[in-house]
Amino acid sequence: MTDNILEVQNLKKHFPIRKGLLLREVGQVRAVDDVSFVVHRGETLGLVGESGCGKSTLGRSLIRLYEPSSGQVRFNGENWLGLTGEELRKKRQNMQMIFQDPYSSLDPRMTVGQILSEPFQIHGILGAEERKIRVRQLLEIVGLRASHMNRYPHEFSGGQKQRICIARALALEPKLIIADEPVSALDVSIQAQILNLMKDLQEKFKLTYVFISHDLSVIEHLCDRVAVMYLGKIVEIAPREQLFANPRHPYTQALIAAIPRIGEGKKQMKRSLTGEVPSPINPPSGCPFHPRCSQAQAQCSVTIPQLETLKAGNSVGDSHQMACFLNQKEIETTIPSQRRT
Amino acid sequence: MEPVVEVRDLETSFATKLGPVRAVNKISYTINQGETLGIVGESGCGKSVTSFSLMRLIEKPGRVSGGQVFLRGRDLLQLSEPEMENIRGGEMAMIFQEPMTALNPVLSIGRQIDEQILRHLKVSPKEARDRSIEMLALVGIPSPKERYDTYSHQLSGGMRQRAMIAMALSCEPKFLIADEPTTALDVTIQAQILELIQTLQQKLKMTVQFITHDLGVISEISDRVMVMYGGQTCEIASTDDLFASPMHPYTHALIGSRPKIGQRSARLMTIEGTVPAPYELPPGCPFFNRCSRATERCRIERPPLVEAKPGHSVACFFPVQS
Repeated sequence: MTDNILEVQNLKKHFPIRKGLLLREVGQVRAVDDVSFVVHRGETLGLVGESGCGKSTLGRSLIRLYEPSSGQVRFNGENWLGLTGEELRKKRQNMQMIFQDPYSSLDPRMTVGQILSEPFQIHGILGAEERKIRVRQLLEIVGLRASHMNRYPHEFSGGQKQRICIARALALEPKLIIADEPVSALDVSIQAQILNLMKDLQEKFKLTYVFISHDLSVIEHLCDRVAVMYLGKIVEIAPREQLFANPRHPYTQALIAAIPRIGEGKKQMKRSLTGEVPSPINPPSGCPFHPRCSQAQAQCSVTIPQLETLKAGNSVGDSHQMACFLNQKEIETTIPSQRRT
Repeated sequence: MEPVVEVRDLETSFATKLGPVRAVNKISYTINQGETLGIVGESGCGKSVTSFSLMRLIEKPGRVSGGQVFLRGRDLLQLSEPEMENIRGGEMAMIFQEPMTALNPVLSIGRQIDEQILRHLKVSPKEARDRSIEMLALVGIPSPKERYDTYSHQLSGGMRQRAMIAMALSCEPKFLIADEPTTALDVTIQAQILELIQTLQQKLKMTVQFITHDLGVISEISDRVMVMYGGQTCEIASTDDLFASPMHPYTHALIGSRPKIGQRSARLMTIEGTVPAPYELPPGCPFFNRCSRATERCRIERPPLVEAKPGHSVACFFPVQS
């Protein structure tokens, strides 16, 4: 049996839209709409999708920066959403987050040493001397120098700031790290440094990652399994090789076909999808993707397809699942390499 | 073939507290008729300043401090501002990264396109309006007649980018500069916009300078690629040649540091350190302090851009041999 660090069931996060003098609720943004998946201990699960698909909201709901509207989350086998107050704070040591923008996630008026010892203060662990030693260790772990302790965030480059954020996330020795687009704000050459660092740290500290990104090349590089989101729902989830070699959901196929490929030469561009992502305030009926789907049929606009297993893996979590009615039929698969003209 | 665009020793500098800083430091290149030249580099490499210099849109404290820019034989840097205004938006146009800031928020998108057409073509307001609607249709904006009266904030990112492309192409420019036109967009929308630019390029027989930091995009859209670093040209070659056998250590590492779909490797190649600030650049090769092959000579002497093999030029004393 596989050891699941995180089990998510029917998770929803809806944001109310309030209008008028009395701020009456006039609608809801269904940012995350009925999502279920598991994360195995020690793996990297990628969450991929375009802007507004709900991947960041999902990440924040998992760590309870947003309170989920409904659903269940079990973290280390415990009912994670049932925790409150002191108990939640204590258990949250085990789950940390890294944000996209290292510029705004570090307090400009605190030195790096203060930033990195804050987690220990909040949780009341280690004495002043021990904290200092630990901060030095943390800086070295992420490839900075211990002498950087007394500097302020503005003295560092973007890549170095992200290293500081990673060090802060590691301070309390978490088991699970949720990384929300951690390299998107960085230059290509710096991205590679951070991605390598994250891989090394995972090995060294046996970390589990939920890695959120819009960049499929980065996702393929880093993740063991990948969940593709569209308009608040997971439309396909599979081990990496399967997802990239044999994407089954029409949206995943289009997404993979749209990735610009390096070094395959100039080509006649071909759009893989027309139209744009509809609003999550008023999502289409049935399958959220049906208005843009080339293979949509009558039932797609009526019934919401559920995630179903296409191919069972060695364990439940390794299976290839998809939420599409084509599931039941033979699907015409477009492998990206055949797309080129 | 006579090149449409010829840039010679272009130099653009900015006055700062620490003295003048050269954001673009003597770069030279040509673009042939109908060709797409991709310019790639990381933040601060000077790729956008190059484009703005060509359009003569550099604002104080910056100025184009040297060189020549020939567009179909005429040196743009010698023209008066009114003459330049006739060229901008007419013979030569530009698409920007952020359409929200490039479009006028208090003028409907149709009116903005009208303005440009009336400025450059001898047509009546009625004809300009018809042409604007035609352009909106051409770039794939649905129900263009109705969209003519919408304002930029009412459109999605992809639609806004299309509106800006419609405006840039309304007077059928011979030369188009696209500065990171898809960076703010999602991949599926990016694919739509790239297809649009390519189709229109073929239709209008345009010459294009395409700037991006995205190696994948540059690889798919360019005929030739120029790699920039620290305000200088590292390497220029045909797209196939550049990606198959990069010669400059920077190009080599840049390509190696990007994960590639379907070619998974355990570790990515990295470039140690960070891009130096323009005022920290060594007198020699700008890549000197991050380069594994650098010697003392690289620090003091700037390597000239030389043609290492036909059509493939590199500015390095110790190029990578593949």
